[in-house]
Amino acid sequence: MDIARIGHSRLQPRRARSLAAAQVHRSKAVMLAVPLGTSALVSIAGVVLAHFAGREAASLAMMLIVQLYPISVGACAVVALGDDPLAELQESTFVGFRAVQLARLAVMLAGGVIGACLLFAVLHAFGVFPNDIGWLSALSPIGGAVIVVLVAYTAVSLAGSVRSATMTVIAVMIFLTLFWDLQVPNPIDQRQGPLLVACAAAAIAWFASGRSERLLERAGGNAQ
Amino acid sequence: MSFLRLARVHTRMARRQSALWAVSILLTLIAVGIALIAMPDLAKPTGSQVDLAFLGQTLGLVPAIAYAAAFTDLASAPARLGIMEIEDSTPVSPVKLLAARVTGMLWVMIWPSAVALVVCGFMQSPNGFLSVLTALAVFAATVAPLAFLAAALSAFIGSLLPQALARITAAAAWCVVVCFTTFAPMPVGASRSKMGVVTDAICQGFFGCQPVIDLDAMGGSAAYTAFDASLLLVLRIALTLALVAVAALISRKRNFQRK
Repeated sequence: MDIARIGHSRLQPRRARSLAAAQVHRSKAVMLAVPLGTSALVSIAGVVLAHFAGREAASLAMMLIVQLYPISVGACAVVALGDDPLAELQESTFVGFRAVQLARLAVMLAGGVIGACLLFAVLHAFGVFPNDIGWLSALSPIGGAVIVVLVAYTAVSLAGSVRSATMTVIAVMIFLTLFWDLQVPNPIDQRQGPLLVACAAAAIAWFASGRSERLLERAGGNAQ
Repeated sequence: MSFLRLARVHTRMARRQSALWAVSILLTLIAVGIALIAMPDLAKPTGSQVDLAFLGQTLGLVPAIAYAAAFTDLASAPARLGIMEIEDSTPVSPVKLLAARVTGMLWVMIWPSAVALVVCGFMQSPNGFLSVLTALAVFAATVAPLAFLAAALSAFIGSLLPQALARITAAAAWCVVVCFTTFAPMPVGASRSKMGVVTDAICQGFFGCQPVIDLDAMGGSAAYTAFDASLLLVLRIALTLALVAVAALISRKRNFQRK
């Protein structure tokens, strides 16, 4: 059996596309519907607040309400990446667990970024996005969603269980929301450091998930 | 089987998950950091019980967001594992079982908070132990009830909704409660704004905190008395118990529905 050739065949674009499509079909509710729905709900809340409470008050309230979006993306990512027994079953096929997780990560990233763009576009149009400095502020929600999905990928791979992974994601979110974002107002500086760290962590998790048996043993603890 | 023994069994099961330790220490550090930014005198001899109470409120509210998101499977896990028939055939009521599960899990998670409070109390008075006792009182009156309330809320929502939705809903519910009871946004300058932190009735009534902790303009005497604080504490505990009972009964009932 030529392992290298199988490994090569995983990276063919057509196969990658069908793999991603299969994952979307399997859990589209968690990976796309809930993040986009939350984004829509937050946007509607912003529009309603802007209409009834005025732009200033709405902008202040949105400072808190906007944070619900990355939290929901993170919770969805943990469930999508760590809570589906069928993803583990893929290790026994030629596709492999790591490829499936990567496909799910890609779909989650796409859903999270689209939702963040939608959120920012609506709130920016109504002028209620908190601390808005123009289109550059879109980096704040988009970067937040990407960071949280990458952290969820890392946490599911390295933490013991879905429960611990959820807590890790929420802890990182709390750190970013209550510490980092308040200290660093400029959107570029605000996102590039955490994004680099999250990418590095996700890369480490990707390499670590080559040892699939140990990973499956960890990711398999669905109940806990 | 007595409740304490049951809780001890679940504590042992929770203690095995080493990731929980790491995450709870991380959450405690975040909460202590937030408290240190707002209250620089927290761990110095110049600090007072007001600082300890504020740390208690942070430790009660911030890690509880993670508890709310993470513990949604406490009540519904037996059904997913397929052991609800075994549980049902044991002579333990479902409410007692879920309460033991919540207690055991939190018994593992809550230690770092207690340690942080006691260390800060000790740093405030290296010679006397009065502030250590105050720290323990803050822990019992503020941190522990809030942690149990968050876990009970999480279990309750998890028994009603599917998992992903339940996690988001529970975290969102807790965030909404925290945001609208604790933070008051106040404009500073032209386009920037700042969060003022509102202390809750227990901190005001028992430990003499000001209504808004980091804004001197709104300072003054506490708005709540010790009686209000006790009332709120009793209400919180009652709400926790009610949520645990309802969650256990709902999930036990749903376990045996045909699907």
